[in-house]
Amino acid sequence: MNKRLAVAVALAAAFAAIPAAQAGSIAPTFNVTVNLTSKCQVTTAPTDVAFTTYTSFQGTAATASTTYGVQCTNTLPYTMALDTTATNTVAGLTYALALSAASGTGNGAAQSYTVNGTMAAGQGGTCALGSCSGTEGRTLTITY
Amino acid sequence: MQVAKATGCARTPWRRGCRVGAFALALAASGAWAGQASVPFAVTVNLRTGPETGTCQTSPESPARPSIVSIDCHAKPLEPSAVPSTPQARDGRAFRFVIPTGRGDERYGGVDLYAGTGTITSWRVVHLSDWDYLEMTVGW
Repeated sequence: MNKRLAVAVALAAAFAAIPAAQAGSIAPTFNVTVNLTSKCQVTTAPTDVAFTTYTSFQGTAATASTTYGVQCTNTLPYTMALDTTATNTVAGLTYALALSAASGTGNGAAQSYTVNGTMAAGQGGTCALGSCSGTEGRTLTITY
Repeated sequence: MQVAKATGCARTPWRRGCRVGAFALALAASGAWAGQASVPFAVTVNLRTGPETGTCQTSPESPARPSIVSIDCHAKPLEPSAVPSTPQARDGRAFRFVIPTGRGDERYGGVDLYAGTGTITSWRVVHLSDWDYLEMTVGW
């Protein structure tokens, strides 16, 4: 009898220790982390700056241009430049290239720019035939 | 800081690897770290050494060698035509038009047209941007 009583008392004590109808809450915190490496990329590469046809000693300057696209991380500043080792000469004709902008700030989307080329009038060029074609490779560099 | 924890640098931040990593992170945060993207392209031109227009003349006929004809061509742009001279009366009601097609020392040739009685002749010189041409209508 004593044993039964003792068991009953123990069970009652156990249930009494559990908060039956009362709900509690906890709010653990955690962080979401990332290491973002900023980057720029050329989305649309420039095509050739083609001066098409230039006639020796022609009276008007020749112009040509090409467009390209740059996509950079949002708020990332960057600069754009052309290589400086080029001769700026094709078929003996001197030309000049200029960028529509020398720098920019990324906004996450592709941004469009232009390379403008000018070939002054009155040049003779170098050509032993009736016509010649000339090509010079150039490089556009985005620094960020 | 999160990187330091992940690499164990939080406990031993004086280690060389941790110092280098911290320096790189500091550079990246300050904007001094630079990357580059380069793309090639080409500048091209087709150089023509002569104009598209020119004039050619045959050599004077040689009775001794009639089978040989020399043609001398000048790659020189055509000069604008001069204004034709006023029609000159000739043989009563006939008119003669002398239309110069050259200027100065260089003459490309000429049109000496004799329009007799009963001939209706009209002409005009059409000036285009880079060359001129003579348009003539003759009726009879």
